[in-house]
Amino acid sequence: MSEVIVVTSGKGGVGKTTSSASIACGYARRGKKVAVVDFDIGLRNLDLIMGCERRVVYDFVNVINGDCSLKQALIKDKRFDNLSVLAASQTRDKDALTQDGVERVLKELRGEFEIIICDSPAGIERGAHLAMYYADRAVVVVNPEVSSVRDSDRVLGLLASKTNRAEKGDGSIAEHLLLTRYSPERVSTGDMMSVSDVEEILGLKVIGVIPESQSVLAASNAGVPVILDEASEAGQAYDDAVARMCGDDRPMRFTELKKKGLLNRLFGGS
Amino acid sequence: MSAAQLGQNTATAPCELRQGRYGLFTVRLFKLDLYQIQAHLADQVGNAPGLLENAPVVIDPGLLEKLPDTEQTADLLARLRAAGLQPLAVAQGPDADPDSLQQLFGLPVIAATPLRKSATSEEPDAAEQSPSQSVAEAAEVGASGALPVAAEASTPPAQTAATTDFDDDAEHSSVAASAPAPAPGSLYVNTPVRSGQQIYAKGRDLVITAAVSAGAEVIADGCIHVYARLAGKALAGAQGNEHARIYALNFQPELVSIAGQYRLMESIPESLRGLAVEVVLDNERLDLRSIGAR
Ligand SMILES: Nc1ncnc2c1ncn2[C@@H]1O[C@H](COP(=O)(O)OP(=O)(O)O)[C@@H](O)[C@H]1O
Ligand SMILES: [Mg+2]
Repeated sequence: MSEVIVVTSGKGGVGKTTSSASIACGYARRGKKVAVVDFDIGLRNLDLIMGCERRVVYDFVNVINGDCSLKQALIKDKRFDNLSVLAASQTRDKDALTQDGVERVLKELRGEFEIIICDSPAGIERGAHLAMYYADRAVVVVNPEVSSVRDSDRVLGLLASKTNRAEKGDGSIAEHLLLTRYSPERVSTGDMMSVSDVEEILGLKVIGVIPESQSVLAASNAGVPVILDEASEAGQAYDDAVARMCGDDRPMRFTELKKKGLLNRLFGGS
Repeated sequence: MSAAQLGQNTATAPCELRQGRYGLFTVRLFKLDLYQIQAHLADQVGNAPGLLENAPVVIDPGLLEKLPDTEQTADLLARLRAAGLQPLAVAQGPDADPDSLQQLFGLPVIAATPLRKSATSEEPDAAEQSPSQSVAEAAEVGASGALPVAAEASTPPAQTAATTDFDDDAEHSSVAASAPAPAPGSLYVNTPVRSGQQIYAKGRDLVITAAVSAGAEVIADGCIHVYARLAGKALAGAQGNEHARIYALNFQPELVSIAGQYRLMESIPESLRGLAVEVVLDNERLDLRSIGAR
């Protein structure tokens, strides 16, 4: 059985693409057959984060337009041969994604893969709508600040009403809340909302909390999804999140203020 | 009436934000230039954030050449919100069909403003007042007042014209007369009502067992009960039933209204925040009381 998982948020720059890449790798590392699809037409970020930008020949829009087969457009990951990337088009206009086309491609992907991750563009318009429309599950990425929480709330409302499952009455989409760019220090000084603030406002428990971390940028620049950086807290937190999405029970880490002990000062967490 | 009759307004801005009779703001659209509309409104909100930030507004599309399509409407609503306003209702022009308006906007439909009621009796202030004036004037109104109630929309056009130009007493009697008897049973909602969503219990009570988020709207012609956090807007007695009440277990709304009398967050005592609260309309004033054991 295949599952389509949309990674969405409403707001831009909260960490959707970062999360899509890491979640895809997390599932692949667990042996699942995974495809990750970039819905952000015009920006094309996912292939950079996945480190396969030089191997993009055909993209999502080419497949929809019938310029090539799905197989020709899928890029096999160098690290996991059970992981493939479908890149977004950089040049074409945003209307190139059609509902029909998206449905067709996702259907074909469902035949080949167990997990299909859809990296949504920001906003609540067409692209974001199409990315979530055929999903079975949603990861709603949220940052601990008021405007991001509000946008996520709106997206949760859309997931519950404006998706294929909602419209067909096919049972609801499973919703996961992923809190990213979390900084316990800034929570303690009152500059940032806490995990429980966010959970209370959205009425959902978080599936993971990813700390704000320098290693995310470093990983992006290297084209290695941060989940593969096992020394980094962000990488470990993503692994915990994927484990929980697979039904494992893992305690929450990196959400408390670190004690400023000697060891900590010597080896400093990132 | 064509947009050209408004003269200088159309030449300068694609829309106008002005304060209606009871302190409620109306966004009157002249031209469907979505980007300009957002820019214009964002400016206005920026000039008077204390007053306009998150202000509920009625959208009046009656002067547009033609109604926006579904995508344009979604974009328009998103842009109004982005500009810091909260679309609350849509005004019905003389030749618009209320059902298709309600469908298109996903908002309750209320009677149009008097401006378009008769071409001869154009209100001078409506046609000539500049947006900045209307904002300045509105500053005195504060954070409570009266919303036009939906009952106006259900009265025949001729009568509506009469009842919109009148003093307060005339309106109240017309509202009481046309308030329908509540239908039996309630509308039950067990899932969260989230930002951007709206629920309307037509002709009955609304019972919600999950949270109503900031940016969400719950509306009933009867009472509203929220057995969770109420952080959005709640409008009871939407057709003018002054005996309607609002109950919330965890009270922190953006706005509460009964039969058109409303209060915004700023005018709700901080001491009630998060408590179980009952809202009652008493002598044209909203009375907020904490209830239950603590
Ligand atoms: N946990 C994190 N710590 C630090 N920076 C992060 C983190 N998550 C994301 N970022 C940074 O935030 C920016 C936006 O991330 P991205 O995944 O592209 O967001 P989106 O896809 O939602 O627009 C990128 O520069 C990324 O490196
Ligand atoms: Mg992105």
